[in-house]
Amino acid sequence: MRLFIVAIAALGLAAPAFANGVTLESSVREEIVTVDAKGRQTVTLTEPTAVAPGDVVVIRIAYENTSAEPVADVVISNPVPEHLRFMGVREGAGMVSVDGGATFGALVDLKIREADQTSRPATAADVTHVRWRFQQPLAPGATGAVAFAARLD
Amino acid sequence: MPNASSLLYSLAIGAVICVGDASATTPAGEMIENSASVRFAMDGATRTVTSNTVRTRVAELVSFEVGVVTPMLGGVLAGEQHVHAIDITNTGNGNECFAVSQAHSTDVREPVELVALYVDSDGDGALDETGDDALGIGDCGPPVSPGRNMRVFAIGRMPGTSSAARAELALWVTPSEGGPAYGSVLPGRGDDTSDLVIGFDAERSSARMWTQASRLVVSLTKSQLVSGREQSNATTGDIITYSLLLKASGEGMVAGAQVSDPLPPGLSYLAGSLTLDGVALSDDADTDAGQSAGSVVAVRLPDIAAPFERTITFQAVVRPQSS
Repeated sequence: MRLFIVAIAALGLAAPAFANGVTLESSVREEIVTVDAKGRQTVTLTEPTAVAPGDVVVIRIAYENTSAEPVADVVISNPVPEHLRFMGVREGAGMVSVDGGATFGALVDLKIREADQTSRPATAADVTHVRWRFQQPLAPGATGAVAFAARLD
Repeated sequence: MPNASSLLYSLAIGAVICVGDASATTPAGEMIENSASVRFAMDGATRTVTSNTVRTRVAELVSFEVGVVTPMLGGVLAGEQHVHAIDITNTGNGNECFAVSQAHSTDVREPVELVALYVDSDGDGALDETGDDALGIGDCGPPVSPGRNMRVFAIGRMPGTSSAARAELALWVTPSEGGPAYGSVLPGRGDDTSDLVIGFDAERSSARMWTQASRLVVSLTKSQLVSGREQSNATTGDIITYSLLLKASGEGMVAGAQVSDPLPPGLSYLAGSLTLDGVALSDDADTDAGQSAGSVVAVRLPDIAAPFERTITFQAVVRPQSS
């Protein structure tokens, strides 16, 4: 099964639905912030051409319940890719992990244990995974998206 | 319980960790891969589905900083060559070569003549014409990796004809893609055919430094005492004590000075009488500063920065006319 998924991804197609269940579509956009003469910021998302160190991208995961029944206990997780530095959740009530996905919480509540056993508050740069846990089941045909922003080192 | 000062300390450490390290930028051409997964319950079973993998290629950012190593060099004589240096740091994420040329803008009124450029190939921070390679003026130099620094030496010559107190050396630094405006994207022109993003402002890629003209004045004054008396005639057997006063005023380095005094015929140097600032020097051509060979008395001085005075004394005896 795993080989099948990898082959499809290499062909550039969307994730195969197992015929029933939730499908995910992951996409990356570049986040551009422009400031006008009055200091007002406009945020636009564009196709990621020429993403260079320092640029911010938004990783968006669109989901759909393609089955005929509600699905429960839905949890979407996304490990922060290498070279990207988490900046914030953009869509959905996401929690983060700073310990490789073992535990999740709000960034403000998380701590990092240092080698000398002291602990310090975790920062955005420490985030390793982002996760969205859905409180309610997804109805058949329900769609939506979650997203987070990250900066390229 | 942490007290206020230890809390501040840990905040400071946190701040340092948050700051990006220029040398850790993602290399151009690297592929960022992202994929998500979802876990859910359906039909009483837990299932996991993985999304597609999105691949994003990292573009090459061309960005650099120029630091002036020698903002001001002093004590340079008209027509004299001297060495300025700048550091070019590659703050982008791809390999780049940099060209250095002289800026000839109207606001540089008194320019230093740019004679030659060298790259600090042996990395020792100092110009050494055997270990360091010449760099053509305006030619792109050797590639500099991301996060690395290249020191360039500029040999300048103080203009010979000017009476200005100082001259200016203004250098332009450009990478091989110099020209497009800040923020331009050049598809496929980066390392490994990645896209190129111009992250430098050509207007600000210059280095300005100054060479101060020398105000060094060196003089040598000779005086004599004849058998202890100030007079200008001497007879056989008189011992003449000569004093040579080397005086340097203003500012600058007097390097490798050699003071020599050939004795006129009729005088014989009195062995063992040579002194420098009251300290006896040997007469032989040995390691100390003094030497007398035949009828020439010579004293070699180390490099000394002005202002200073050094007094050399020696004695000679008036020989009988017939000898």
